[in-house]
Amino acid sequence: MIDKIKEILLKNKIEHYRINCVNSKSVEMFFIKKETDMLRSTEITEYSVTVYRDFMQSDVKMRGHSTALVFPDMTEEEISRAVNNAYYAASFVKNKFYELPKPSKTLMLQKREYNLKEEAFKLAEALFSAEKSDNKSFINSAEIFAVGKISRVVNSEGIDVEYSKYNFNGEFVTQAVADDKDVEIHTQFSYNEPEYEQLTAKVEEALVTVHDRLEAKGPAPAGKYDIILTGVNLATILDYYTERTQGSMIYAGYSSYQKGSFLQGDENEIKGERLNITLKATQPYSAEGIAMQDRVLSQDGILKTIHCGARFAHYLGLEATGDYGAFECGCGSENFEDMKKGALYIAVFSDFQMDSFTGQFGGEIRLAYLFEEKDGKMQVKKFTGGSINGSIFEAQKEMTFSKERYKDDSYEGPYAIKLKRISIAGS
Amino acid sequence: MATKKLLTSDKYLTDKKQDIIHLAEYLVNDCFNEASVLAVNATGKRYSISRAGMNVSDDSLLCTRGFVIRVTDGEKWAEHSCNSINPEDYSKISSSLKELIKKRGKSTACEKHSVAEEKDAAHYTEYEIHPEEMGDESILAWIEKVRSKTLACDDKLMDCSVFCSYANTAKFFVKKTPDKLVQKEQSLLWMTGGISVMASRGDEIKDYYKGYSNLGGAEVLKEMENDCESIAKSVVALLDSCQIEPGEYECICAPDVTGLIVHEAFGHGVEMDMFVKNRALAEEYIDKYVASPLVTMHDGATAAKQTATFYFDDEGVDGQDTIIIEKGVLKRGISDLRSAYQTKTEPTGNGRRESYKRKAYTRMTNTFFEAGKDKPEDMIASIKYGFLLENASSGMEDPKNWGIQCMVNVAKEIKDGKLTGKIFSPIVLTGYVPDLLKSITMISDEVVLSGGGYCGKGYKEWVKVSDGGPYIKARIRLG
Repeated sequence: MIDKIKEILLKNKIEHYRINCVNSKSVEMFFIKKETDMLRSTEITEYSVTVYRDFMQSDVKMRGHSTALVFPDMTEEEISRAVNNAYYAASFVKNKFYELPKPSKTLMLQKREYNLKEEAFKLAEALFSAEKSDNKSFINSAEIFAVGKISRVVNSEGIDVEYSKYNFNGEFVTQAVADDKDVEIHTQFSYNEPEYEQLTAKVEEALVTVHDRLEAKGPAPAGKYDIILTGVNLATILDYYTERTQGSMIYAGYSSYQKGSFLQGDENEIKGERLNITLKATQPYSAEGIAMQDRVLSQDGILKTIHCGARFAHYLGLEATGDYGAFECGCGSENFEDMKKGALYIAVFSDFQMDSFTGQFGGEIRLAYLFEEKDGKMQVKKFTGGSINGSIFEAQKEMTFSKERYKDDSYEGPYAIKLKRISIAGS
Repeated sequence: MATKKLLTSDKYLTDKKQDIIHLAEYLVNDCFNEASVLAVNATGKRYSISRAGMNVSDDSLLCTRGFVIRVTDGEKWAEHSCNSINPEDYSKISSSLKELIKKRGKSTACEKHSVAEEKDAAHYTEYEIHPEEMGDESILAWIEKVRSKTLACDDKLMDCSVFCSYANTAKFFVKKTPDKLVQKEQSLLWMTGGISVMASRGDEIKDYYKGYSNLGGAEVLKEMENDCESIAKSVVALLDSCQIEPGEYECICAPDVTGLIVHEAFGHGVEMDMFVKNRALAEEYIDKYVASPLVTMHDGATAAKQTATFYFDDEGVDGQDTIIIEKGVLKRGISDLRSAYQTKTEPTGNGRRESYKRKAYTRMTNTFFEAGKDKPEDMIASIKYGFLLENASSGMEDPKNWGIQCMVNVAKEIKDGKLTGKIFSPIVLTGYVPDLLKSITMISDEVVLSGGGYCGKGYKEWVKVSDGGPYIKARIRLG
């Protein structure tokens, strides 16, 4: 099919192009308690053809682009119409000229093969193995997706690369029931390898957490707290930095970061951790065919890499890095247990969000633990409800990271972060 | 009054019809009690402009072509999604489905019960200007004009991003049992647009977004031009906004915030696949008061003409107008086919898929509160101290415990029945759903629906929905 598309592009005198082909297969399992409710499989091949058209506007060289989707059973006539329509549309897309990526070194790829059906069933076993019959909490329902993709990128500048990637993801709901209370917690997982033990551990933690939610009594009193966030919520906080250091944000003027900038505001006001973040390449090539590699984003809070694809890299005079979907953060020096003293640890939100434009973060609290020292002893109170609303511009001055680590398919780094004096809307 | 035109039958699906019918027949002849095939052919483009540049491309979420094949052996169900069907594939597809059904261990009970008689049907929606007739050049020129006009309103604006997109979706559904073949087809066209304006206060960027949508074509773009000035003023006002003192306040919710509350607070809670999993508190409240007697709530593909309108859902069930809450009393939930069978109720036509590649779940369509009798100005005048909430941004459901989380961009202060001009932002609305809905004391006399957004099931499975309602007055916890 790719050869057919190339022939059509040639026939229509379209000189600059990129063809992406993704062939994906999946096995999907849907459970209600331990019973399968539905089994699904998918086998899909998709092509997208991006065409580039050069033209002059007020003596400035422009390069417009447009993408057409091509389906496997399209006739030659249909494909020709789709790419020609895109080529016509590209003539009205007034973006300044930029170079398309050229071939770079070929990466040695380690090919792994998984039987998706077997892996999906093994993950289901791992998920349900966490459930003990004497527990007061149990798995209400679960979904498992075992997905394998082969991606190929071909462009007019000579790039022709192919790689395979697997993803094992899903979600589960844990539930706890006692007397007149019935609560649940929703948890997601996503791994690049079938991580059976990590999944079992995640379910075990969620079974404990949902039981704690059963014992939680209303929202915490309103006020300002030192808060602790963990895992994916911590990663969401750090997303502010990975998003604001994108070339597209900087070129558009939404971010004032430059190489050498201190990421956390005024360096003189920093009392806590300085950020050491590494962008992680989770696939050998970007969607544009740029060879991806791990890159230091920041060292002791100083920005080292602005990351982006070919267009914004050309505009900003930088090396094109490709677009990243994962990062690693350096750990801190405090134990998670020590961090808890006097803090409100918000373990579960309904949907924790960070707005990288406003720098505001917030969400509704599903479970929080308040650790208070009384008469030399640590007391723990459990709360549910209320919300937090904070600003990264204040919070970044005094952040503490845990020694303990956490890992999923898009974040690796400290398990916990402590942020000072965050506003809680509570009782 | 502009002339309305009707979409016509989709050529690709018409050409493919016999292959699809033969596949369903093959599967039933092979071994299955029932087989259905949903075929989708959709075109859809997205146009955008901002300081970062321009773009016009096929939208991968909207522009799809493929098939989902569902079979049952009477007890177990299995599905296969693919984007190529040819007679030589029938045997492979059948084997793959047989293996899936064989692999299933203990299954959930799902007895088919009698449902309304199914009939062949064909439906097409209307439009004034088809975006493909208007053309890429004109659409890009239009959004460029809206951007320039907005930016010219105030020199404090750092950027204005404008986008629009459309989807022309054709579906053909066939269901085969040993003694019956049912065929349905529909073609739908909707178009949406949005203006997002940004202004900065140091490193902090404030933004204000307004969306537009219709069941129709590019005629929706005309509405965008009228709002440039008010949107620019709104974002500039946000530069002086403060953080709200957390607490419970008397609030007036604008229709978009009402829509977010309707959708998140109650809509997700009555999705009956959640009843089947024992994940929805609503199941225990049928025929009980859950809201103020002023409240009547609808959901349905045919309840309104908006972006979530259709004639049959992704399982072939006809779209309906379901009354969920009637004068404060919860009457019923909404269902996909499987959850209807499992709860022994009539399906409501709410079985929807993100695309042919994904499973069908119970999903909302057009969801809204009915109008009341009050005027918005009287509602504001009735408040001693409180807020007018506008510009909803996002929310998250909690069907099990009826917790609510909604993010809203603007809270305008009201003192002694008048807006003071002071603005607070951003705002998180939280609370217990029945407390909020029972606290509603006034409802305005006009319903506004907007269908610019997508709705997820948990954190995935995005489908187009519309929601809205009138202005409502309620007591809400803000933070």
